[in-house]
Amino acid sequence: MSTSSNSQLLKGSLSVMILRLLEGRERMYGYEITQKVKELTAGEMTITEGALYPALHKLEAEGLLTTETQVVEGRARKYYSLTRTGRAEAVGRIADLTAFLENLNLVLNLKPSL
Amino acid sequence: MPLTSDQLTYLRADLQRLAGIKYDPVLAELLDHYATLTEQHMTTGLPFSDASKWAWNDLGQGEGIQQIQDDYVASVQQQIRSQHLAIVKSYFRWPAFLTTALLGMVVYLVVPLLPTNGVLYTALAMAFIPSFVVLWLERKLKNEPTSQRFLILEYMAKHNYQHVYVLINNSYLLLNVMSDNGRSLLLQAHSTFTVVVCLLLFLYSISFVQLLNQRFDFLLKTT
Repeated sequence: MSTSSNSQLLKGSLSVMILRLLEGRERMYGYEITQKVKELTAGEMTITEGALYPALHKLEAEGLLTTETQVVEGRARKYYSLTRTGRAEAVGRIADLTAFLENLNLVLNLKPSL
Repeated sequence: MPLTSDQLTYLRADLQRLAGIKYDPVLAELLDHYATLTEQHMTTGLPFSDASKWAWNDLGQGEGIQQIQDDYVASVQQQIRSQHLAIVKSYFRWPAFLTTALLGMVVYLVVPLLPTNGVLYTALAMAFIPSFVVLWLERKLKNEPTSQRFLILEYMAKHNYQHVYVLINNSYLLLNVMSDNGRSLLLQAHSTFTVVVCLLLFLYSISFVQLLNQRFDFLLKTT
């Protein structure tokens, strides 16, 4: 998949991916999120920092994420975790995106003769 | 291998100098990311200088990094605006409305007892409260222009300039253009108008003071 089409597709689903990743963990920091996505998709999908941090800040501003900062190896590391609202919102947004992808799949797999 | 404090200082300087990152919360978060990327490249055997160049490239270089700060500033400003509006609205909602009504009653009783010029100067003094808050904040934050509170100051200063401009024009009209009789007619004969203006000025001024005590989501909470 080309990088430009990848980033266009990522745009709408990035916040859901972040919520999903945090659903399964207590907390994560920015670099860790980028690496986890790379690992899960075997390097097919990469999240740029320019997309990741604004998305994290937006989710934080919406009250879906909370943060705590710890000093690790001489520098401040900001960890993100889901709030109670974020946990409930994650379930809804994941269900919505899954339903959308299923429908998209139906359209994309349409036989040309139909 | 963890980076030394000199290496961290070098990376911090890159972010500040090459990408213009100045706000503490953004700088701290990006420094950690930049340092972690550099450490990853160093595990492949690269020296620090080369590893940091690769990390800088991975991070999106100056322009991409600056965009992160721009988005951050826009988000915080949006939060400050929403918070200020919420504060002003809260004065007219239960249960704060009780205090507002009580205050309105006090103003309603006191205003007719004051001489015309007394009402005018009291209203002006109240209206300049946001200006005093901005001046006080400017002095307080002059040594920390990179903190998030500085964004609150910028927001307040911007609103204050518009506010002061309107005030000066209206004061000029009331004090110099209008005759004494005209002023009396406006401020005393239409006392309801005067009471409403005084009350709104007071609430607006208080909202600025209250805004200062708000916490915003991007504050760093060091544990």
